[in-house]
Amino acid sequence: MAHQYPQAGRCIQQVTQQVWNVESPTGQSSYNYVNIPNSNKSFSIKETGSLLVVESYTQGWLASSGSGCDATIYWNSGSSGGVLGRGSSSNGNGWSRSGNGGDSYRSFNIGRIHHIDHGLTAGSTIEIGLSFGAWNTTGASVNYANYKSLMGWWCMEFSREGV
Amino acid sequence: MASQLKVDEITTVSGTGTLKIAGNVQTNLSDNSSGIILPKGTEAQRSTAPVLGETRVNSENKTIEFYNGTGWQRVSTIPAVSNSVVGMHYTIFGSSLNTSGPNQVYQNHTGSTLTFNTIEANSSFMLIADMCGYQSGTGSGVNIAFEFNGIRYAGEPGGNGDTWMGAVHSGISSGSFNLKKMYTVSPNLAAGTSVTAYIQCGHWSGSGNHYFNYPGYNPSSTFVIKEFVNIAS
Repeated sequence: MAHQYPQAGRCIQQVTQQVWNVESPTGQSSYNYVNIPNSNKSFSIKETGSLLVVESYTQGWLASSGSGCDATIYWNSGSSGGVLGRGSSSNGNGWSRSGNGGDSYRSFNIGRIHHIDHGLTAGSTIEIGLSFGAWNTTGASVNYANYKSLMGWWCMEFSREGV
Repeated sequence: MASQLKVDEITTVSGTGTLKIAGNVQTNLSDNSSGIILPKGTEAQRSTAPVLGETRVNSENKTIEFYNGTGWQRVSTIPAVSNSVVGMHYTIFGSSLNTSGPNQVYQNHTGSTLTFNTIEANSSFMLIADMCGYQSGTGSGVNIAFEFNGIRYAGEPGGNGDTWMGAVHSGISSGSFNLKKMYTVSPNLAAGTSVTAYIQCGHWSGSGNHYFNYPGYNPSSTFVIKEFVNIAS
């Protein structure tokens, strides 16, 4: 059953981050997500227990190695945050949001929408950024040979309180 | 004949229960230099038998709350921000555009045209495109950009084919594509300014066809423009 937020009506804050020509993240390995440099931004939560809705848009490249890849968002880190909607580490097919095993020399373009139940109080700082992963190789990147990837995210904070 | 009662404190006989002002009367607190002090307490201190409309200050989150008949509802003190859709093709727009011709040149997709008047002065605009298409008989890549009020945004410069690979690529001679792009612009326009915007389409190289919206099909390309104030970018 879908989540329902009967009082989530008013948009009380919106934050966006967009980046050009970012460097490919390092530390990529199979089934692993890594943060995309400079795609992050921190801001203060306006209302305790509010709802965040985030749209993300990510472009990149599957290089010579056959693979599948995924891109999404992360928020904060550790037990209270992390990568949202990540592919399963035990099933490579879960990574085939763009491309697949055997694919190479292809561009990818991924748009996603997620919500964040942050559980933070008003005034708390939250960090949001883009995250990127490859299925079984390191052959995917977000900035191949001067590829000027435009990518970014857009966060809306919605109130759950009364008017 | 009006009468006055001057006291410093009023309570019930027992010191508890409900203090009621009887009759169809209007309460008029005429002093303009003071305010009503509502009862305040923690959430644990809330009434165990609240009635509809009962209002208090929640001392934990420093907000006013009232009982709405089923639960305690806070009255938010945070104003909403402007967030308006000012133009959109929410399903499919217009006809097909084939960018066969010059390489690495963006063209306005006239079928995507959106024209609107700005609501606020000095606002920002979120441009969101979801563009479907198909390229045939050519090994190439395609990409999209935006034209907003006569200025191109989010378009890669020419001169390097790699920058055009928003979707598909030179090794793929025929294939479908789906490009999603978002860009925020802050052009400092006056309220009421008429703006025309397009999705721009282009391809890297090749002599074949690059169809943005394939002819004869019913693709689901969309183009949405939202106007904001107070966006943190």
